[in-house]
Amino acid sequence: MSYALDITSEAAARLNDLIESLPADWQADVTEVVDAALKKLADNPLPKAKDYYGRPAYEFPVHVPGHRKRNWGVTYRISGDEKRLTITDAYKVPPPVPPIL
Amino acid sequence: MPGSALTRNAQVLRYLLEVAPGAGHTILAKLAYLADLLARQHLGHPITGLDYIYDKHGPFDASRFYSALSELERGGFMVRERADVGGYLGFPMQPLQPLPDSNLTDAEREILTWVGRTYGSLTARELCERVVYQTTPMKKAKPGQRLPMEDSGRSDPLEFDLERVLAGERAAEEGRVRPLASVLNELRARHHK
Repeated sequence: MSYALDITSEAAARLNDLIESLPADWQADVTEVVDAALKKLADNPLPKAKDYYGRPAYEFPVHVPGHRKRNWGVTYRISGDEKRLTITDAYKVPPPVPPIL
Repeated sequence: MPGSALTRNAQVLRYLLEVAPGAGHTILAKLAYLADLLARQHLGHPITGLDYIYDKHGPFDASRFYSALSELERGGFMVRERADVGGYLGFPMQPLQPLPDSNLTDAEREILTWVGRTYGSLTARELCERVVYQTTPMKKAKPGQRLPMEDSGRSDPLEFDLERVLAGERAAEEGRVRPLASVLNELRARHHK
């Protein structure tokens, strides 16, 4: 069963900023890419989970044909009853520092 | 001294000792370096005021580091022991009384806690060889040179930002959430072709 997806007001603003950072002619397509990626997360949030300071994160490629690929991510939390998944931030994936053992 | 404000460098070292008690000079200095490196990337600014050079055992700001340790010792916040560490004289340090106050932010504490827990149990040699010497500032600098820490900072305000994540968590706790589908529908309307 898939989790119901929520997003905080702060994360929604960041997601909008991410989309608006792209050229106007592919913002609509990218919105669909994000929708598909987050549905995939809601279907199966645990495998390959990345984390930042103990917070689970999901990172995915944002690719529209004819444009350079970007990597975006979201941090999220799952409700205690395991029914809802709330996106707490959306971001561009940073370079990895420092080496994680 | 107890009850009075400590310098930020002293607060950071004391906080790291709380997470990684028994750390010696080398390990404590490297934990501070790693925390600063992560903070530059994930907060956009360092946590300490240390200015690292490529020293004999890696990144170090000897004068500020030892000044902060002296501050902690004088104030009774830390005790430096002497111990045989693999045939060398070591100085494992133990935290004493809690910090009276602190101006470290929640995000800075998160980073310090993570660094201390992740790397604090390594030996000094492991920490240096497997982690510290693999970081970009150390690879870019030569012995004796100042480390180009600013080159490893966040380059884009839309990159991961721990403060933003914490703000998002607070919003979630306060119920300021919406169904993602409705947000995406708004974005579609705003960014339609």
